[in-house]
Amino acid sequence: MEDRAGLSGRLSAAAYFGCVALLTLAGAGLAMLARPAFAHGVLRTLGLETAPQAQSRSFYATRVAPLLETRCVSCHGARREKASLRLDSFAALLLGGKHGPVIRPGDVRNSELYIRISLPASDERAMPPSGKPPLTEDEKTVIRLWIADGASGALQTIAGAPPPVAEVKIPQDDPAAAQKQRAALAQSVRRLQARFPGTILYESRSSANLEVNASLLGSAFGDAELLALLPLQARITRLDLSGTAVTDTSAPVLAGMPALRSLRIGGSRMTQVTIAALRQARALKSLTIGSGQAGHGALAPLLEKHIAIYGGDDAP
Amino acid sequence: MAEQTGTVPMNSVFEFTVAADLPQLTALRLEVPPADPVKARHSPEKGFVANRIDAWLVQDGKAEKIVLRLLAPDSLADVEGNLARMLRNAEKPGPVMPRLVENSGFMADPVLFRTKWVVAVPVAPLKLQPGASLKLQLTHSELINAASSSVPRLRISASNDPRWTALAQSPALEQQLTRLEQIERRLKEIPSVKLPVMLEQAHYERRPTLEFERGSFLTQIGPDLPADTPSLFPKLPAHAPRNRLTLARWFFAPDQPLTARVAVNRSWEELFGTGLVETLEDFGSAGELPSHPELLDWLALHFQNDLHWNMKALMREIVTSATYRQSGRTTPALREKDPRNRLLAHGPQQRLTAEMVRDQALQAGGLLNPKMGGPPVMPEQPDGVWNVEANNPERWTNGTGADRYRRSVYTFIKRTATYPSFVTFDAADRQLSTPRRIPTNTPLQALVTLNDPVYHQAAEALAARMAKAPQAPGRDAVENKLNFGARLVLSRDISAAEMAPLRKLYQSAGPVAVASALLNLDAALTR
Amino acid sequence: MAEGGKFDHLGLMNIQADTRRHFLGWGAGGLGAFFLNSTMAGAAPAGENAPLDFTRDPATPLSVLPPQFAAKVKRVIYLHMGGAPSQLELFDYKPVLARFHGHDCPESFVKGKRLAFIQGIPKLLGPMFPFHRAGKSGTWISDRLPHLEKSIDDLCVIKSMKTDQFNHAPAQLLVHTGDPRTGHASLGSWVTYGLGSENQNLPGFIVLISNGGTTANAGKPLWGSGFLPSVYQGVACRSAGEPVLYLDNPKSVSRAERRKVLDAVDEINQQTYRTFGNPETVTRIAQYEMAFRMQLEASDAMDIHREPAAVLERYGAEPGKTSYANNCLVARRLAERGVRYIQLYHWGWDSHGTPVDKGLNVGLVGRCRETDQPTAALLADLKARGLLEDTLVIWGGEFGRTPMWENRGGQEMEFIGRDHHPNCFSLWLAGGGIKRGISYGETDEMGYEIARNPVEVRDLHATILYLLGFDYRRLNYPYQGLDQKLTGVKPARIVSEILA
Repeated sequence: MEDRAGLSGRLSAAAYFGCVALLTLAGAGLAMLARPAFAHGVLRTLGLETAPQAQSRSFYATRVAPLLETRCVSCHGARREKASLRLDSFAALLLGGKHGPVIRPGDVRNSELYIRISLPASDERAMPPSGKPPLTEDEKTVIRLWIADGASGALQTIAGAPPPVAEVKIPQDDPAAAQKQRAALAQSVRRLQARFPGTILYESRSSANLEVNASLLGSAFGDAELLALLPLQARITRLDLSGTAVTDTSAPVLAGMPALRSLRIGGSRMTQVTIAALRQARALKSLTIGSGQAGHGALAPLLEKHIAIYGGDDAP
Repeated sequence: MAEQTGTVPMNSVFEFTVAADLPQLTALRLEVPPADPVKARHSPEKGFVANRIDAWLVQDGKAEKIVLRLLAPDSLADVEGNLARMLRNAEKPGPVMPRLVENSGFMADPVLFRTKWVVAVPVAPLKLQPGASLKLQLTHSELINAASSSVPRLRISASNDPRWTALAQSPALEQQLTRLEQIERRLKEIPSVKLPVMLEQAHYERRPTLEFERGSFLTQIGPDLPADTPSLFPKLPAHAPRNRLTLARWFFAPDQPLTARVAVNRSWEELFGTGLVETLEDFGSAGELPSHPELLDWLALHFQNDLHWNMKALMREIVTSATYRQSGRTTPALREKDPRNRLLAHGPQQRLTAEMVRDQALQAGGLLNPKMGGPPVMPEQPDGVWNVEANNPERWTNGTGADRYRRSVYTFIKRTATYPSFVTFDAADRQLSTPRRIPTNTPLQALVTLNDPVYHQAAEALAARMAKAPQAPGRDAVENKLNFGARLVLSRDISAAEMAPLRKLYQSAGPVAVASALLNLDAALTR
Repeated sequence: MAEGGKFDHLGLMNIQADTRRHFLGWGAGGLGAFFLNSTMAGAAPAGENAPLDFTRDPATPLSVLPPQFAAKVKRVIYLHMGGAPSQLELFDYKPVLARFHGHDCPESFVKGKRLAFIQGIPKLLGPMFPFHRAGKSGTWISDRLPHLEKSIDDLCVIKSMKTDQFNHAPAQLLVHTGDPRTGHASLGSWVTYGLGSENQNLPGFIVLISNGGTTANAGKPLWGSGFLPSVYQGVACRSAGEPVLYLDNPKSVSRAERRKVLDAVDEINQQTYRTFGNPETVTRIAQYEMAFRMQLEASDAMDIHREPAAVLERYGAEPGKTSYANNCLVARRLAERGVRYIQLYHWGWDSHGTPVDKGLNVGLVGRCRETDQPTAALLADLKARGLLEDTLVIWGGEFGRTPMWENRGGQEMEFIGRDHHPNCFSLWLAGGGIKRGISYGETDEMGYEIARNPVEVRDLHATILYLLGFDYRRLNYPYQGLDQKLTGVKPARIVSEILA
């Protein structure tokens, strides 16, 4: 640093640093020529170019991108860039990798990406590589159609594309919300659960609805016991009274349960009187009866309401 | 060297024609190397079994059978595996020996991890004319894993060294082979269970242990690692051979922190239901800390240094301690504070193990057969519980006589069909490594102790013993019997409160019912 | 480093602070202790794998717990056809394969593959029986299952099941426990652990085996509880003789006498409890009472004598014998009585062609005859009683069979058979939450590989648990440092396309 005189025999500081800068630019220029991805990256960083983007509702975004995400991005993404190829964004997909673009919009046959995913699994160059499961026919079709239609970031539907597979949404459970909903009847539920053990259960951990199965109590459960459940009626969705001692006296009670969707009365002492009364049931979707409990005439009005009827004399 | 290509069906016979260019042949060596000798040492290849080796000398248009005098194998195991016998059979054409009759044949079964060879020595040197050839036939009539077991490649070498003939004809060798056969015969006559005893392999048989690359057993990288112990622990003695004896001694070295503590902890768990370290199987970072570390250390050192590893002495010391002798009574307050009694505020209360439940019932009934040792037995079990497997045609034949009442530890165990009464009481069914049994409390257990025939037989026997109870003064006849029964089952006198229901039962249902009740009491099943 | 026997406690505590995972307590107190400690307040991680709380009163480990979210089914009946029934003779119609019958199979079918018994180049074997479309749904089915055909519009046939196990025991373990090795909890154990069972007087998980003598290759682990508490294991019941082992009193002991014994035992146990205060004593009293009730209920449930003759005929059931037909009828009775998980095994579908009774032309025919009518009767019966809408019925094997004619050891076979084929097999589902009258998935024209919509075994498991009201990731259990799941460590997919 101090000995500036020592440098004077060679290059001056300015010239020295000027050479370094020149070499750097030359190197960068060569790199940009050699690797288009790098070139575009530089240009975009400098603000000289905007990266192409796909619209959020486009076919690309809804069908192609998730596919690439599951099948390809683990090796061609942020964590790993095999062959300098990234497939985790629309821009990167169009850019290509070490050997150039992998998509030729409109030209499936020359699109390297499609070529690779269509190779037989035994081919060394097949993608995904051996060890990973190959793309299904539907997945290949999605990519093929998308490329053929111009590898667009805007197009929303493509004719002939196989329908998307619906993802199952696991209901989010919110115990706090369930607790709140249960609060109103919680004490009654506890009391009645103690009185009729193993009979009353919440529909699920995240629900305040109740399911009642009195069948295991048999003849020990009758009209009086059913009346005891009245405080809970707003929440009872399923009620199994098979084999109990409940009689037609309880018909209005049953018909009046506002949330009751499924009712089983086979083997109980109820008759078509109850079944007739059930015409008034608001939410009933399914009724199971026993043989001899009702003739077809009694069931007709319920069938008109599209209530599924099981059991009875028509059944074997 | 000939290499097998294509698919070879099983039970095939290979024929080789070898041009001979020695004037005289005294020995033929057949070698089967692995395809990749380096890799095969730790990742072996498919094996082979050649049951018969036959050879002919083809010259002058005739094929003359070569009588083989000796087949010299490359390993001790194969000598014991009776190549000699195979030789004798080669002289007379006959059925090939079944493999299950002691290892026989030239083989690498089931896998090939190093070159296997055998040297076939004819009875006399063969004089070979120019143009002569040898015909060699290898018969494979065994299967390995239900598939063809043929030789994958074969290298045939010839020798004219006269020492082979000398060896083959030497009377000393003949004597040794005969002696071997005699000893084997005598061994078979010794009545004993076939107890497998582990024997350290000869060094050249030893499989090398290489480091796995990132834990994958498929990619093993050198070098060959010597046996060693984890660095956390005392080192192996510097000049001791790296073998099992050294390891065994290491476990009991004075500065070894683990062995005594683990042993003592297990004994503690036996007696108290939970060890001082709850994770008996894991004293490491994923295990639990001891509830009483100083006690654990003291017991360990005491066991090691004072009691000299004597298990009985240790047990005696623990059971005579004040802690163990505490009453099992608890109070709700105690239970609230320490539900699992880790702080040992009261005596242990644990259910008997599966084997103990059965042994206790038999002991109380006077039926327990105290015979020690011998092959396992099959106590009574209903039909259809034991399922016959196609590949393992063992049958469960209910034992008879005193065999029915041997100690539970002698019960035959089969992993896919464990004795059901034991499984019901949480005995390990050997599917998983089970370092600790988890006791459960189920209605199926009640069904076992009420209805399993052995318990009913025990109840009947117990009732008979009660009937013959010696009369104690101050008790009436019935009370006397009941108390005697209680003493047999519970090791204590009956209390007045307990007497009443038992007496009632005796009068309404008889002595066998009482015996059955005694054997089913919670107090009988808890210690 | 250890010095003179003193262990480095401080060091150990430091390591534990870093690496500790929550751990359930075992030991004295048995199940009670387990349940007391199973909710590790504050230690449970939140998020998509957060375990649910399955704490229960230790006296009733099978008491019912609600599912995580609203369930479509309340119980499962699994009909396992042991040995692997040939999909090419039952559900997967391959007319192109038929055209190539007798030709050498392509080299790619066998080169580099691990096959159970086939060696060399076997011949291709076309379907042995004629196929046709059935029902309103037009589902393909062979002529071997004329009774089941009547219910074809209730079935969802998956033709693209796949597994990676090619031998029976590991493949059966994979199907029923989610792992090809022993030691894992079976599907039935997970279900009873998660949901309990409605009828406390019967085991919650019952196994019925037919065509036995031999049983499933993997044996009891198929219905074992693995690392789950042993109370959740399946109980193998017999449809002839004593239904549950030791259910019946010894001949000389009447039920009345048994009651008296229990009364005495109960009374004394109560005194024991008053003296010692051990909660296990209370549990034991409850278990004895349950055993007493079970004697009646299980005997009643398994007793098909009481069924009307018309019903027996419909199933082809013969009281007093052991048969698949009897087991199907018992299964319906158990379903009615609140048993949560009913597993049937029927053995003998391993149609290698040897011995003769295992050939496709003999053995398979026999197995179909034994199972077709009862299976159909079970489905119809459940439907008529309104049980099918909340029951899940599953039928299947452990892997498929090859489109090649088996040539064991490279030799020509006298009888007709197919070797094990893990690449694709067929399985059907029926019941609540399942789309009716559809086929899902396709294999290629030779029936060798899956062409569309592969379904891994773990995907099937995830779907079953979803129908029962569980996120398969949250029905887990800590063991050996891992939150163990039925579906294993790989991600699984709920097969949404077959859900109604």
